[in-house]
Amino acid sequence: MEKGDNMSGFGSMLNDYLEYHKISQTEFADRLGISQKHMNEIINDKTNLSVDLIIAISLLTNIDVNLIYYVENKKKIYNELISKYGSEKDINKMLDSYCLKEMEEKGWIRLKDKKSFTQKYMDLIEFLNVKDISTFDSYLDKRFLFKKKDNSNNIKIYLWINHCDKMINDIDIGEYDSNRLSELLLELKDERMKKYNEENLIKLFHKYGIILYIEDALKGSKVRGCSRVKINTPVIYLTRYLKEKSSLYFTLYHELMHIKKDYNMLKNKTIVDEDEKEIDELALNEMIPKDIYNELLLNVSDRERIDKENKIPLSFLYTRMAMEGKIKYSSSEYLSHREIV
Amino acid sequence: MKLDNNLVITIKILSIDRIFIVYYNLLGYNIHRKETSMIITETKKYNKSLKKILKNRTKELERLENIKNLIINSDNLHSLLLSEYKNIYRIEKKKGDLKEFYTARLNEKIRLIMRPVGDYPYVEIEIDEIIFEDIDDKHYGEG
Repeated sequence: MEKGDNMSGFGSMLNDYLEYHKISQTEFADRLGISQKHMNEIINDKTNLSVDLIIAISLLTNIDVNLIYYVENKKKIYNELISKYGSEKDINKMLDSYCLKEMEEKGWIRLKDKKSFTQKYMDLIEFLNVKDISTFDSYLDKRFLFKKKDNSNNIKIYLWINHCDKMINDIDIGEYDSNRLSELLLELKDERMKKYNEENLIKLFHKYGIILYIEDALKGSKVRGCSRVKINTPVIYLTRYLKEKSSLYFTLYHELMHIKKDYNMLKNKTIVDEDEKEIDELALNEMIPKDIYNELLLNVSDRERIDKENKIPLSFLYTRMAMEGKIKYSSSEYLSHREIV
Repeated sequence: MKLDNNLVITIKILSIDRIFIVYYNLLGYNIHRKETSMIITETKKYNKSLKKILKNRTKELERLENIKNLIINSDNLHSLLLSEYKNIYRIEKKKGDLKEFYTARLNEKIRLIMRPVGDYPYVEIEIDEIIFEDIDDKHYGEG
């Protein structure tokens, strides 16, 4: 018997029911139309209940069909876990790799019984929306495009994406029209000049039929953002990983460029951000067009005017210059114009 | 065992969504009820009593597991108290100084003491968390 789980199937509960109502096992077997031997096996959890029997027992006793199914399923999962992982310690080790504790602290998952590894596993697969853990890897391969093959980080990223998916379920926005993307980019120029306001940024995207959701990822996860298309609605998820407005906008433009360029591919695969030169260049160009950037580099004294005219926050300019090694991250230009989100 | 048509019609009238979920899960799909369900947390005192009182008591441990399953499978305190098992496991509200507590019977003498998470008086339908406070083996007849 495992330490955390005292596992029996529905047999024990059925026995409690029969004893309370003073119904003999023989009589109940007759009502169900099964043999006394079969009834005995059910009571002693020596057999699994068929769906027909689950329904029939529920009808005869008025016990919630879900309760019977749940108890039987829990027993089945318990046996599968023990046969696959061997010990409670190894099962808990596997469960730990899915950051259950941190997810619970963040309120992403409700663990119904923290002491039971079987229940924790059931809560996890319910959260993951997969049939079981063995189907999870192939699902990740088919539906997600991770640029780095770091399995533990990719699991953390998936958990974050999955949480974001759940959070956007009730968001109702208008239809996305790719022809209006240039309008969004224009309005985004006005927004980026203002003090960073997450709510306004999200509203702006929703106005153009794109769901934007910002949520910090799990500890140690290096994700900045990802994009996908759900049915016909583009979705962008961002983290505040780099804490700076210029970095957050860079990721935002990066994902927006994916939506512009890879809309159809995003219907089948979620792209998780990593170094992608082409998309990065498009994003940088949206933040500061190449010709203006060159002009800004040359006209040091006129920078503020050029920036204002082209609606480019100075923090964007100095972050880019620091990134390209043109100034140091410790320089006064960079430090005095930093905007933290 | 085969179900006859009348039985199937009765099932449809009773709760077609739940039957549907069970059928599809048994076919290998992973369909979940999207309703809320209750969660259980345990106090240190409870865990201490569990080790002390229920050590090697297989039948009582089995009963405790059944009560846990019953709670987790309930949407809230209200549905727990409407369950067919409420009377079987003698889930009862205490009175007087202990009015904020519920007990369940593990055997003639041993009771599981539980406290719903929420403000008293409880709005049963809003209670979706229950704390296992203690296990008491000093009951003689009552409760």
